[in-house]
Amino acid sequence: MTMSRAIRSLISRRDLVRNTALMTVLGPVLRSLEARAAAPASPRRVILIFSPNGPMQAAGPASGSERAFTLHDWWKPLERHKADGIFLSHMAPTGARVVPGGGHGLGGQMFSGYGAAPYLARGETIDQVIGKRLEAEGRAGVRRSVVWGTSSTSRSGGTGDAFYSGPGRTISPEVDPQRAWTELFSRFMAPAASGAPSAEEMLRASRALSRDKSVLDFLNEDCKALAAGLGAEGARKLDEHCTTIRGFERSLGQGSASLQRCTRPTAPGARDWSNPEQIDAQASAFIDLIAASLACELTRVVAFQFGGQSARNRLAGRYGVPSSPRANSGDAGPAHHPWTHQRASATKVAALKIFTTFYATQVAALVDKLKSTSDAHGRPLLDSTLVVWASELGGNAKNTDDHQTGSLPVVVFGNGQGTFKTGRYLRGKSVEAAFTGGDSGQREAGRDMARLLVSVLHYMGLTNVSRVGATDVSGPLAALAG
Amino acid sequence: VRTLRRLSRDELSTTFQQLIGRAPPRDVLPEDPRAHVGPLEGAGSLFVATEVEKLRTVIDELGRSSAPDLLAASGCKLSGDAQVGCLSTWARQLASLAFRRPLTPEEGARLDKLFEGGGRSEDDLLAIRALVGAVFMAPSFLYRTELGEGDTGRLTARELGARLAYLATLGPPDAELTMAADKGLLRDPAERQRQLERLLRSTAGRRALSILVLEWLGANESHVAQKTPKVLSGLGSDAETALRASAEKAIGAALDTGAEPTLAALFGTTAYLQDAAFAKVKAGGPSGTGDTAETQRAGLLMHPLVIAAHSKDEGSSPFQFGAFIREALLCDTIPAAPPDAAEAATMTVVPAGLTMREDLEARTSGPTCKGCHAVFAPLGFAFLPFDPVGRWMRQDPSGKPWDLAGEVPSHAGPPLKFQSPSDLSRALASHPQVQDCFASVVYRWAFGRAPGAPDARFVASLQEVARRTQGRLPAILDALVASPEFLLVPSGGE
Repeated sequence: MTMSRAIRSLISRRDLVRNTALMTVLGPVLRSLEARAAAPASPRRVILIFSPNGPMQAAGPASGSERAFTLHDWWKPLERHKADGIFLSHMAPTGARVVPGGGHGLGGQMFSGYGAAPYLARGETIDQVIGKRLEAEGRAGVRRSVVWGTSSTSRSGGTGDAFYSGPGRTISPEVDPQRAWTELFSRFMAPAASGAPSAEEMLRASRALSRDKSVLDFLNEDCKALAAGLGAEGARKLDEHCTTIRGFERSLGQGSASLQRCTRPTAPGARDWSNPEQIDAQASAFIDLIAASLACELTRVVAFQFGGQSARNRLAGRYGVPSSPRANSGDAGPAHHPWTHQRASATKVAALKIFTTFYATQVAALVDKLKSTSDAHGRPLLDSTLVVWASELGGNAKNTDDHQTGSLPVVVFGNGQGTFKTGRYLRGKSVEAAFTGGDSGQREAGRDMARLLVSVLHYMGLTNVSRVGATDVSGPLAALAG
Repeated sequence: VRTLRRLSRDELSTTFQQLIGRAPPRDVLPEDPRAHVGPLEGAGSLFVATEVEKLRTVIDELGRSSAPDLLAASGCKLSGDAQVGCLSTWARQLASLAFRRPLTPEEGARLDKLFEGGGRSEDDLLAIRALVGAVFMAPSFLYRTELGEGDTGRLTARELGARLAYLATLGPPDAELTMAADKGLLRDPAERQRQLERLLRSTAGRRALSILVLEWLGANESHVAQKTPKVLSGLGSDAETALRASAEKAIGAALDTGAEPTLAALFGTTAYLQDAAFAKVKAGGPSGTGDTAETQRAGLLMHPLVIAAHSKDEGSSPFQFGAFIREALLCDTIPAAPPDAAEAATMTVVPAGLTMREDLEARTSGPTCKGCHAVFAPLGFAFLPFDPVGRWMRQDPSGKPWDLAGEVPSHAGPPLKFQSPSDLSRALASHPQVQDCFASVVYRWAFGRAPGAPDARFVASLQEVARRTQGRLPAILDALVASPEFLLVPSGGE
């Protein structure tokens, strides 16, 4: 038996495809074989975006009729993507007043549909729900989901962030692009330029594969043994940990046909990413990472926040955010949150405009990236990726309430492979001056937000899920389909 | 699932350090599950998917960076099969220490596979890197198990040793403790006390107690660096590290004060007043700050690290600080603010020229706020002159003198009356409700969960020790480890 045959007898073709090291050397051959097969439809993907606080002094993001509408000045950066979006105004946090919570505290239930207690959602957000389902069905990427952001509220000792893994368990997003890159791409091997692997390379690769598999075998067996000693309830609770470990097997081969069009992004590098002067570079790095992780099919679910509930976000000096006097919340300075606690004034309007416009600018840049990045099937990512951007608090020009949860702006991008009809403006049901106290219009708007999340779940293939969290409505938001 | 207890960041760091001589930066490890206030509650809390994935990245890097040193530390300098055999033996020992129990033969055999085909330096480094991943990603390492011996309800000897070791040092049992456990000596309360005292004298033990105190005071995470550049002005780029070191030193000095009860020492310490890091705070930064004779700074509550943990990024935070004292130090619960409270406070019209305290009291004097604020706000008003990093502001913005006096009720002992922050610190140090609270905090620290109804009698016995000794931490820990309850697997519901 030759060395080559001996090695091949140790590893199956499946293993070859899965293994990173082997893909490095065998990638070109395998890809050319796989390219001959008919290309299936692109997998469906979703990006959930949360921006903290809110516009407060502006009702957005658009006004007019369904087809003839104009974007509010603060959301103008999205103008170039008008045809690709559905712009909803006068929405409300998921299940507002259906489940308890108020003000900033409703931010935690934006994507969950559970009440806040008082700031931490009582259940998981839909990014987690979708990720688990995709994983269970073998449709997830290497990571069932990622949670990233430009700042974390819980990490700085504040209240919760925007995404939750379970009751009261806020997920601190990764805010360091370099660390996010390391988690996803440090093991990622770019396809070899050309040429057949040498026997030595194959031997080394087979040893690496064997060792990696041994590690996973060890971990999986340890999981089983521990679970066996815990009883049914304990085993059930340990299951998420063990399932995640089992999922590592996929990352043995961050390689498949998709690598054909996928390139590893440049490492963002080490910087003081918490410095507000780095905010543009930080956002830009995450946009690149989001697009690359979707294109490389490393994940299909991205949760992203521009800060958690009531985030004290700061921007680079060039944005000229005015400094807030000390607010009744106790904070002050050129930050987002303290301005939400100031009385209406021209300076407050100017400050809030800067933040909303900044978030809109970043979302627009993300959509640019999704349009310009092709997936494994040669199609723009936006064709198969649904982007949902929701804000924590709403607003209107006459607002005297600092923590209004009506008039919430929500923007959806992507037609979801023809599922949704874009290029439209939809007015929600909350009234112009709906305060935290709520009214029937706000309740209905909250229900529509819950339906919107069901639409997202259905788009991602969870068609048997009819409601989110603890809300009292079921079914998707039909208006999204036109 | 109380029988599983996930290792905290500090426990992971300590364990990595003790077993392989290096640890990843603390802030790259998954954040700890926390109750609203007080120390960590890791019992029954499991790592979720995102945390497991984060651990994988961190531990992979740890394996890469530590492999050369570990290969040297293994002492295996052979070749071929002899080298593989040597490394396998060493790997089994490392895994056994990490798992806090002997390995099963099957586990040993699975580890051996990592070294198959090895014997050359390059292969051995890769095998050790894989070993680090296998051992430290294993649930048997990441969770301490307290399953017990059959149906006896008592911990196994090794589980008991691990409970004692992590309580005392935040790390795994050392050789002496393991030997005592294996000989069954830890069933003897006196032996447990002896081991505890031995471990607490170690460097790891002293650090563990510092972390316990910082957890209690809510100051074990980074807060100083979160403040605004304006607030941090003049403190230097290493302010967080330097102030942390200053606080740990002060805690260490307080715990070393044999003659004085722990609480009195912690709330009265002046050990940090001469630190270089503190000198920058004391000197003041932005205009109008700096310690004066009125400050009378003493005790950890007036340490910048603790003040920074309970203040906003900029500006004073009396409600936050008062709530911290009421909830963390007195173990009372403050109901969540009604949804409309912030709006009501903002909309309240107050006259011009008021002091900060008068302004805030006027805004919270309505029926929505008044009831709850009465029990915690005065505690925070005593600390009103401190800025977010603990600088003393020499006067109220209105120009009027500070009014720091207050009185709040307690449910155990007399009302707390005070004229100043140092006065309040002294009052807290000797107050029975704080002593009771401290005992229950130690319980939560030891068992990783809040006491439930079945634990009431045991907690009461610890509180009795706390009151009798006026809050001496060693006495409370001694009573805790010597108790029959320390031998038991976690009990039922809360």
